[in-house]
Amino acid sequence: MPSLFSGLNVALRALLAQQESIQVIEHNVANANTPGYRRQQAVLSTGVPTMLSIGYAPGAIGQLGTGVMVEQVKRFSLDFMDVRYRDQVSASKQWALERDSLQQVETSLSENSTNGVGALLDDFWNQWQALSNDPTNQTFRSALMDSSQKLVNAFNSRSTSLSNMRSDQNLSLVQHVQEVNELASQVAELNGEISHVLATNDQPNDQMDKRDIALDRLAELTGATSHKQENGEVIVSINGHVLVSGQQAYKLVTTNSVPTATVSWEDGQAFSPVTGELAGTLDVRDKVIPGLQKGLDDTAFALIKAVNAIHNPDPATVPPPSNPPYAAPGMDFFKDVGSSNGAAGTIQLNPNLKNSDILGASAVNPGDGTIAQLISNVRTQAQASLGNATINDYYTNQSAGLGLAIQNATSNATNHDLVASALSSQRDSFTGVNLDEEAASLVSAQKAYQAATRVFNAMDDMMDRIINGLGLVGR
Amino acid sequence: MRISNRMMIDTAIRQMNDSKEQLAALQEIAGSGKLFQNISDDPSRASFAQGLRSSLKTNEGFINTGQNASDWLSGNEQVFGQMIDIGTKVQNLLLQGSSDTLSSTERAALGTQVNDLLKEAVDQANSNVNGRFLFSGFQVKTIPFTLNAGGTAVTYNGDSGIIQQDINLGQKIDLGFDGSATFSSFFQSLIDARDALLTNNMPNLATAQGAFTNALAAVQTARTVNGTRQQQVTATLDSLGKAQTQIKALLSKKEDANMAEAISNLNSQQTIYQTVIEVSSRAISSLNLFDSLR
Repeated sequence: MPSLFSGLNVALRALLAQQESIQVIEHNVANANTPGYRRQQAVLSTGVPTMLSIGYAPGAIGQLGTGVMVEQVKRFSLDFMDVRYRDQVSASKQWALERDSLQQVETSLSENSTNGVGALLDDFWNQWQALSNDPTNQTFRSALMDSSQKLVNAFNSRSTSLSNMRSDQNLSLVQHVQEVNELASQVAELNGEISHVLATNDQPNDQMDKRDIALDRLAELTGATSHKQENGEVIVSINGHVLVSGQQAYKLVTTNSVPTATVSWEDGQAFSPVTGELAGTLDVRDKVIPGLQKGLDDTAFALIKAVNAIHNPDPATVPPPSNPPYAAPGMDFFKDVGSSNGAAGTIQLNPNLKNSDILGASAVNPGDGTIAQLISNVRTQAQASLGNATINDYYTNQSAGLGLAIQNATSNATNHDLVASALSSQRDSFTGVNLDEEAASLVSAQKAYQAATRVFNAMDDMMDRIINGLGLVGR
Repeated sequence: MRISNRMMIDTAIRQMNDSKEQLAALQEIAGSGKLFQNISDDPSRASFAQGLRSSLKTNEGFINTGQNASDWLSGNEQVFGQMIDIGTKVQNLLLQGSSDTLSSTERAALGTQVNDLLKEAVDQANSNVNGRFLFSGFQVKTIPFTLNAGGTAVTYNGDSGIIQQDINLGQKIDLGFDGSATFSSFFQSLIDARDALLTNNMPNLATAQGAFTNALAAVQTARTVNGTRQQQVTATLDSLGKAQTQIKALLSKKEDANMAEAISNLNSQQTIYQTVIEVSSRAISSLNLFDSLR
């Protein structure tokens, strides 16, 4: 049987429940812009009803409600959305990283300009040709030396900036690995807190937000996937190897070597991410930049060999005194190098070569520009070491290859980014805060709260009537 | 679809970024007049353009060479022309000298004239272009012919090398002439004729006259050969010049922006960008229910 006091209690519960609702709304509004925040909602439900049948009325007439209560603070989150988003964002980040790094490389090679190696090669050939016009001309010789020095410098500086960029990628790899380790520890710790709170039948909403942010970032970095367990903990793995299990994080370790630090798991297994920024960094560091370096080295090596072969021919094939253009023995034009490995970095003019040593013509036949002409003609000669391309064509092809790689990375990055942002929008649509909605809920909760205070007033009046108004007969 | 506030802001930012990116790209095109700055902007066009630029440079080299060759051959032509003038004068003098009516003194006077012409001929054969002697073979820094003090012999100091030049890819021509083969008999017959005139030796004069006619014919032949070479160089220069024009046009087509199009694209993108900003500013600062509740 209901008592007046139980009516007060109903009103009180209404006040408390609406207050809690308002607090959740406040939390939502406050976090409307917090990255990774998932909106929450106080889920209201009716209180446990009491039986009305006992006492004055015969039989059961039904149950009497005991008001409202907050059943749970619900967090809006869809796991499958997270999975799909993370899958796309890791690919998007990988390609964006490759695009950015390669664009940096392209800028430093500046091939589409008059200072590109290709343009300088053309200048170099033209200077030889000019020398062949007038082999005795000292100005032409100086101009040739100058142009050759520029070409050599261009090779050297490009080689240096490529290796610098490789070291940069290496550094960023090491930093990324540190970030992965920190995130892994964070997830492990949050796993512990979340499972603990869940065990006490509570909702660790904000910890879950934090963990989701960490998992998003892990996906961006390594393409890590996560799997939720019944106790609320997640298992995180990268390409089949566990990164976090329960409250245990399995770390990645790097070696100190520059620029080829290797990444492996603590247990010694090899680390091989398929997507994510780490995969992009590894690809740029270990494939793209070395490939470009090799192209540059091969070009430089072919140039050294082709020019030297004419400027300082092998006496076995061209005996110096007997063959007319080579009346005097020649000198290497470029300093000889043993192999193409690193040739672009070390290419230099023969340090002993003076203006007068340039075999535009021999000392015996000063007017004969045959040798200069032969060297100038190298520009049209297919080089066996370059797959039968000319030196210029081979190099142009290399830079076009880089351009295509950038284009490919750009379009991949754009495509994955479009999908990732569409998925992110979809996810946001479900989990994000809408201020209009919150305002409406706030008004409704506020009104309910006001109504509850009115009910309280009514109860108060009734009690006042009973306490102060009853039993005054004959007074 | 439920729209969260974050979504509105993210979308606005993304749209502004996209629009600004396109604006920047069009600005780059309009500002530089080029369709692409980096190879990655358009790899196939860019590598094609690089090939064209390389051909331009190569042709430029050959045009320089061709002009140099042309200078050299003009030098040759001038010398041959002068030589033939001298030769004609000499032939006239010899014709006069062979007349029976002349006295020995008059012949000796003709001999002196021939001697002067001999000196002039040697000077001509020692002509140079930019300090390089035309007729000393490969020894371009060595004076080709010297007349000895007594004027009795002309020595050739050069060699028999023939200077060659590539005037286009795979097209080589001879520039030089073997100075000795071209002029030695010319000089020798001049000396002989002069001596015959001075000494009034009629039989020797007749022999020298015959030899001189042959020597002059040889110079004329050389002049014809030189003329053919000049024609060849001119034709090559011509075709190189035309090729340059064509390549430049092609290059411009490949990499130059159509400015009218670039500017109007830029303008239209500017309008789009302004609209996007306008819309975004409304989206971001849009009123929500909180503003109107009271």
